[in-house]
Amino acid sequence: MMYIIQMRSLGIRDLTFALRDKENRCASLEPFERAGLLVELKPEQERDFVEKLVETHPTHEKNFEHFLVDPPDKILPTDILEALRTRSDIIPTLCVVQTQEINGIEKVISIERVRDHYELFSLLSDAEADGLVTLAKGGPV
Amino acid sequence: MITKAKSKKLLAVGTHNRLTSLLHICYNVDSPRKRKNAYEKLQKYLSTIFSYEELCEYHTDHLEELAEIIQGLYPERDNLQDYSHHILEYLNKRLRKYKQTKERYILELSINRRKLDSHSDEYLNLKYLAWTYSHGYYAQQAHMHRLLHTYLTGLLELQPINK
Repeated sequence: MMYIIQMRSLGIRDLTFALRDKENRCASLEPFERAGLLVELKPEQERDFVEKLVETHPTHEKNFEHFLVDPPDKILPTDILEALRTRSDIIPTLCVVQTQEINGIEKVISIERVRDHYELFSLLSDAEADGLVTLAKGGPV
Repeated sequence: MITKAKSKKLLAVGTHNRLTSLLHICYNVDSPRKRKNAYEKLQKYLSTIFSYEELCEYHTDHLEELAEIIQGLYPERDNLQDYSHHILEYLNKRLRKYKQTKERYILELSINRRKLDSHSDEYLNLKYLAWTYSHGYYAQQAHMHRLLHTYLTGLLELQPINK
């Protein structure tokens, strides 16, 4: 299963998610929203979210750079928690949470930031292939 | 263990030139996408010397350090004993420091596991720091240093054959 977490409202600096070629004019976030897979991170969920970030940190990355935007060196989980509370610039606008059912329990296996519309588009294609979302006519694939 | 063919490859001018070119691209790329591609090419080239399984979990910093040391072998081929000993000394020092820090974090974590609330900020930070040394960035760095140590030691043993 996959969820897109929207950390803040889309602003001018998130134009990177809006750029699409002529063949793919459908709004990439809309299908996720319709399927109930676009969620907001509530303040009471922030602590759990950071714990999951720690548990799923890939071994080939450092300083949570797979999630944060230009993180400072030696950043600690509590610094991320503080950055989440203030939604500082190191917190990405969108991130994708992948989960997997292990022994009947849905577990988070990865949390990564969505960098641009290419990544969002690729996620959308994967979600459609898995039957998680349906695309409006004229959409990708 | 290092083979005769691999020791030749480590000291070859072709290896030096290819790594110089790949590292130059890695240092000078400006976009994240180009950067990712550049490091993928570097990893692919290094996997012709080392196995891909050994490299696949390395951070780009580790790939870069590994490539820089291998790149330095060809210009120092006539002075290989000194150069390798200098590098081996550096690797031993780093590995000793890694072992000490890892043991310290593991000990701190086991002490605090009983003392601290598992939902406290202090415990969360400690758990993360211990992880960086048991599986994460520093564990991968130590893995790379051990790999390099094995190859350089093997290279020195094979050196009379290469001459």
